[in-house]
Amino acid sequence: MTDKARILVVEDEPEIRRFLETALQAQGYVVESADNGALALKICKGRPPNLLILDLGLPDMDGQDIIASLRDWSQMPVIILSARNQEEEKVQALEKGADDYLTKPFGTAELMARIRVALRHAARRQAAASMSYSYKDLTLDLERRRVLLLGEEVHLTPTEYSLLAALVRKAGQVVTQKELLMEVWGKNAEENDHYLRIYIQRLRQKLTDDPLYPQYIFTEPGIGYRMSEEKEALDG
Amino acid sequence: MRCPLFGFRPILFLPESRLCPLKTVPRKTMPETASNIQTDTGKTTLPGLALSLLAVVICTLAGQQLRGIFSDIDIIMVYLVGAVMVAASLGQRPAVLYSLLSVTAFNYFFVEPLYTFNVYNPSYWLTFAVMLLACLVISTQAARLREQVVLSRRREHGARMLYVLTKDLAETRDRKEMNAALLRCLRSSFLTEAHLWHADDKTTLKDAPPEVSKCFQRNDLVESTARTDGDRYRIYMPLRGLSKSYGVLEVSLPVGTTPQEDQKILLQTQAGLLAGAIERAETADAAERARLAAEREKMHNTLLSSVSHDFRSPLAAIAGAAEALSQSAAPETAEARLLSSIRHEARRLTRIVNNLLDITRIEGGHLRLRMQPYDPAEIIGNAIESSRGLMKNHPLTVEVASGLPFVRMDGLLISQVLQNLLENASRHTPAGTQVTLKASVNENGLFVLMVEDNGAGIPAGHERDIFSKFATYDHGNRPKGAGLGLAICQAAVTAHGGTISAENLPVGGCRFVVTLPASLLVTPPAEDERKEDERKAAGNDG
Repeated sequence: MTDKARILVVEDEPEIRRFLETALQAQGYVVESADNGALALKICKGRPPNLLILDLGLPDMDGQDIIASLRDWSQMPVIILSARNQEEEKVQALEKGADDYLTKPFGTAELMARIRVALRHAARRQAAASMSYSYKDLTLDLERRRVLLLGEEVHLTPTEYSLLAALVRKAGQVVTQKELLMEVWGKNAEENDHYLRIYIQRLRQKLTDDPLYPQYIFTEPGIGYRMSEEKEALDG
Repeated sequence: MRCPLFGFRPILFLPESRLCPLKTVPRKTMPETASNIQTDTGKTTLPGLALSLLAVVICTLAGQQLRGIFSDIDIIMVYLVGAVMVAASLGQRPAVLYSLLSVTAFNYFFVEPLYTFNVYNPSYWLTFAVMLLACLVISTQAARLREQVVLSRRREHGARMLYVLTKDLAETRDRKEMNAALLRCLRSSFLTEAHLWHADDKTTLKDAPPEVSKCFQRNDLVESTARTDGDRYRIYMPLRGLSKSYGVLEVSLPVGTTPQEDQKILLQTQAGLLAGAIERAETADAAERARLAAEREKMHNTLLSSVSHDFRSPLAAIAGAAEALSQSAAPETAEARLLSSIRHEARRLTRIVNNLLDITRIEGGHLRLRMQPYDPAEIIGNAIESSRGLMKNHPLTVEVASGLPFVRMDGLLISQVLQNLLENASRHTPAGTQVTLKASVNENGLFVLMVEDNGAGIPAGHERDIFSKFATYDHGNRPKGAGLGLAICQAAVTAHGGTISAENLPVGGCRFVVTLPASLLVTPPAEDERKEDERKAAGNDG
């Protein structure tokens, strides 16, 4: 599927656009590009691409507005490009519906990994496939709500399990703190990020994941958490 | 009309500047007016009585001159004219005295038998009665008129003062000028001492008399009556604005005087005008400041985003393109080495630009901390992960004390601090140098982060100045940094209320110590929810 995936690059810097086009074409993607928001939205409406790479700082439109208007009618994966120190913009874009982000400067390997994960999640969403997760020693069966570590069942509390499930459902992609709080604790828990940290800590303990050298749950300070990508995806 | 009676000028003809609504004039401020204004309806002064006696004498002398030419009735008219003058200029009591004296003098000097108080013609008793009555009525009316005139003069003067004050206050936004306008107005209208106590001026309000703070706290008029003869009567009025009081106006009246109700109202109006003016000026200032801040913020952000765009985007393109190329280049060739060099230098330049942006942001006051509780280990983990490339030639040992509490911090910024310290260690020590990162809570309850290396250490005497901006020191042929990394560390840690310091270790190498205040340590919340959660889990399993 990935061989023929069409990717729209929305970036006003010609050098970055050219580099992205070249790098993506080398990986077998079909690339289109736009240097402004209006053109990007027009392309998305005319012939929706499989994935959108969007720079947040465009000359004509705020990247946030593009995401918001896109999400009114499309679930197409969106990866945003932003500079460091723009954590608030990143969080805002993620909460508006962007799937993931990359901080400039980013490496090609990092970019390709993000694209792969985003496309895979999109495909899975369409197929409504039941999901299982497996990476290194950890296996998670979402249908049967079972967590195995080295084949041994790990006993998680309901809260711990729903937290892990929320991370696994977006494995390889960042999940914002707000998203996690909403999903696990419901609407009113937005401000209560202390609980989130405690449960992450306990989850890491139960999965024997060292926060200093994490294998499964990675911290993205100021943004949220990222579950490591599945094994198959890494191989492929 | 050069009559001796008009040897002094009555109050009605006083020039404006000498008009004094209070009973007496302070000796110091206007000494010469004191002799001119000394009477009041409410109080009989000795000179007043003496002057009415003098008036009787003058009228009698005048009557003596007229005698023989005019009749007794005309002489009575002279006395009546004297009554009007005395009442108008000296007030009611001297006028009453004048009435009695003039009847007596008329009897003594003009009624047969002369120079006795005896009266041959009994019809003169009626004359005396009518004369006394006429004198009294005339003097009462004249005195009342005088009072009215004084009062209306005072009111007119007050109104003029308010007008002038309003105008002066409207023309300025400077607090000092406003205060001066009020004091000027007070001095010219009340001939009195006044003092302003400003609420924002904490030290002066502390030194102020107790009445001032009492007045300020009650937000109402406070009066202090004279305790001893030398004391002045003082009035304290709050400068009451719409939202708050701005201070206290203290007015001390001249010795021996008390204010009247209309004067108090005038004073309060003046205080209110000043408060209103201060309030207006503050609002205008605040609006101006907010506008400027918004403008500055906008300019700053525009500059920052354009710099970040202009520098970082090309650098990202260079680094990315070099990386993409190096994937297809055969390993260990000159080409691959050059590409790797391009990539690394582009990344280094990016870090410098980032640091420059960081320091601009911090120094411009644009550093907004996003404080959240974090497990210190996860922030350290993030820093290690982000520094992996830089640290690949420096073995890193991490010692995190067990059972550390959560710490409230801006996770990204503290991770950045650690990354900068690790980068600093890796750049200033030869490859292979051991670097150690430690985290603990010390005996004083502070959260401590340490980065140690066993390299050459910091040149003696530079332990402090390495944290200043653009401070670099020579360390052989390794590339120098821009000298911003440690300055950023210091700014970030200081913003958290913590400290950062550097020291050389006795065994060699150096140690950077970051402490965060105990107040940032988070005590774990109640266990209730967790227990509840565990209980549910047990139920599910069973």
